[in-house]
Amino acid sequence: MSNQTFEKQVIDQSSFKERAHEALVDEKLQQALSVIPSGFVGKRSKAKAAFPEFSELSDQAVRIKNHTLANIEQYLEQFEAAVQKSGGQVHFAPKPEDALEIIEEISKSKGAKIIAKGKTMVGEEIGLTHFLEKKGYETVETDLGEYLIQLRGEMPSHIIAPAVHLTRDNIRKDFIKTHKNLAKDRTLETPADFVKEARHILREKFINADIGITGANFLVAETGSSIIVTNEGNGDLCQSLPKTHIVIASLEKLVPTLEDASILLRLLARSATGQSISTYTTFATGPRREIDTSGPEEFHVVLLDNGRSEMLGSEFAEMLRCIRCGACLNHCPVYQNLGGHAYGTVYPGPMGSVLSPHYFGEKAKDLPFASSFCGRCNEVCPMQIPLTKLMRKLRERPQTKRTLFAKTTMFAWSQLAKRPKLYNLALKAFLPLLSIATKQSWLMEKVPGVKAWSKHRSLPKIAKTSFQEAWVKEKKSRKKHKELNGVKHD
Amino acid sequence: MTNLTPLNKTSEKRRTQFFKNIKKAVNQNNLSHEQKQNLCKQEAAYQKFKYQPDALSEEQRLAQFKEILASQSALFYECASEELAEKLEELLKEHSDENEILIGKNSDVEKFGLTKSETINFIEVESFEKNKENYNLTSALTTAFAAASETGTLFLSSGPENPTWLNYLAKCHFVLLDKSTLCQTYEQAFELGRKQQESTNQPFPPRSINMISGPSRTADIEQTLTLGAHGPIELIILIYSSKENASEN
Ligand code: SF4
Repeated sequence: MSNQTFEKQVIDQSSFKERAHEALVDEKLQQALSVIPSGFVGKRSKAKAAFPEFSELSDQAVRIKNHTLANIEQYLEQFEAAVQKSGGQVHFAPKPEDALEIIEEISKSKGAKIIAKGKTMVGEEIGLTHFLEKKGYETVETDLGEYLIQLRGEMPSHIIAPAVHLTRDNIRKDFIKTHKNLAKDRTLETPADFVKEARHILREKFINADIGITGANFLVAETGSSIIVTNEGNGDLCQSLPKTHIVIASLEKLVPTLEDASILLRLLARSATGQSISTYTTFATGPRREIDTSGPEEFHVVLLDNGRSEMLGSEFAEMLRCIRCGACLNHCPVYQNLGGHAYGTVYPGPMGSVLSPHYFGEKAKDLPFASSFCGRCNEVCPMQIPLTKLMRKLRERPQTKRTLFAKTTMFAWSQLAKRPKLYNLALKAFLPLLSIATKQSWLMEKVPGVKAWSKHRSLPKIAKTSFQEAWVKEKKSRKKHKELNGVKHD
Repeated sequence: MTNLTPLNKTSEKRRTQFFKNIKKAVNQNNLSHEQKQNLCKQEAAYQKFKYQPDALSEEQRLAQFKEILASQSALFYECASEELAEKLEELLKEHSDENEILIGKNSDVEKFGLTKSETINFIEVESFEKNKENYNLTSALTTAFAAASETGTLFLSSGPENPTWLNYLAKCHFVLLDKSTLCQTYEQAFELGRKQQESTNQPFPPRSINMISGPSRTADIEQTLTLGAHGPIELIILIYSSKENASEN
């Protein structure tokens, strides 16, 4: 696959600013996004409150991941040996192209025609579905959300709810267009109608698939198991019906033991959907055994690096603790207002703003600026990743170039902020002008940097005097008032 | 079993490169004295930690299990092992238009004389490819080797008696659970699984451990919870206590 195609599928070429603008004026999108605060946010907070051990387990979860990352070489080797012992095979992929080639080789050697795919963010990261389709395999996304966006040729807009940006109107149109064999006048109203139809269509794919591909939420070094967590059960059908099961996962998914995985599982669902556990959690260890009558005959794990080892040796290593729960997205005011597509890569929100520049380089360089640094992401992250600190570090990197305008403004601001007297003088001169200008919108649009703001919202009226001046005045008047009162009482 | 393909030149090169990158990263971590000390402390705390919530009595575990499962839309029935056959007949009538039910080979159902039922037609299946024609049947029955009350979770393992696909294809999934295997935590359930595998000289973990905590669901359509996405629309748990176990306890 050419680099261009790969990039088109996993990263949008326009700037964050352009995409953010589009998202803000997209009424349908805004309607779809409005459910996030009441849905994910409320449910997570209830689930956390009902589980008093959350903080204690979160501390241990951090230790588990730090321990694994500090000894990653040993755990990779242990995992490889355990998978081999169970009859499976591990393939190492330093780059996305390697992973794609490996998966294609396996598919080719099996003479596969239909591939049923579970939801995998690593798969999204490397543009796997698109790649396999191009190679001529009928590749079907089986997670309902992923299926919905596959029909539209879109990227996921959320790491755990890929189609959160779609409304029923969108989906109805896509179903009628794609499922041509079904009656045109069928009822597609309630969510149950849509789910029933998708179940019917995808069943046929499952039962005829030659290969099942899943991701992994965790990989267990001691047993060579891959763990997937789903609510639909699609991942389980992908890994129990077809004759070949391929797991695509990245190296930081490793944990040492089943007990460690249990700790992380307790945090994952609560942080993600607010459930105490997802409906299905499956530990798959190798292919069908001698005593088994069912299960895949082959079990492959493709382990991807793609920039992670570089992160490991850098000040961004903490990011590798991420368990992709999505809590930081759900709580981020920028994400809540723009949705995932504005970020332009398959990893949106605060976690994506740190990860994407590492995985997609130059193309995602403006993402660390997609944050107001309110810090809610840091608070809700079960893996205690200091997301805003990492974004700040990314902003400071020499490769994160700012525009000349931004640079000059920031420089001027920093000079003023360091000199209070000069600052007050400048403010005194500037405020009356600004105060007049805010009353004349045509005038405001001429002020550099203000147009972008005032396009979608009205600017508040600006006071004629600064807060400091007003405060000095207020203090004086209070003092006077006190003195007067004092006289009265005496 | 996978026929392990010997590493060809490209895959060997990829593996070498992969580990080279990792080694480089690990060597780059020049930690300060303070950071090293901090890591040591973390390491000690990591090794020492055990998840041990306050232990619940059998009764409390059952109550917790029932409550959580109900909130996760699963159905739950309790009976003595001798009553299983009758209960199953009754439930099948209620939940399915068919009198057939898919089971694995040498399934536990035989142990309880279930297969003698005159009204239920048990269909024994093996691999999916051999039994494809049955995939659209309404009901399947499998057995759990343990359960954890903390999140209302059943633990099932693969094997001839429990072909994994049976847990996911039927609309109505019946699960048998021996009351004495109802644990409190995941760790305890795993331990039980380990012992059971050892007692039959099978390695632990089995090919597949399936933790199931309700019927299949999705919220992908406008965040509205809908049951029966790909897997069962109904999960019906039959928890039984056998005399044997009662005297053991
Ligand atoms: S950064 Fe933290 S909150 Fe965000 S997805 Fe990763 S683990 Fe979850």
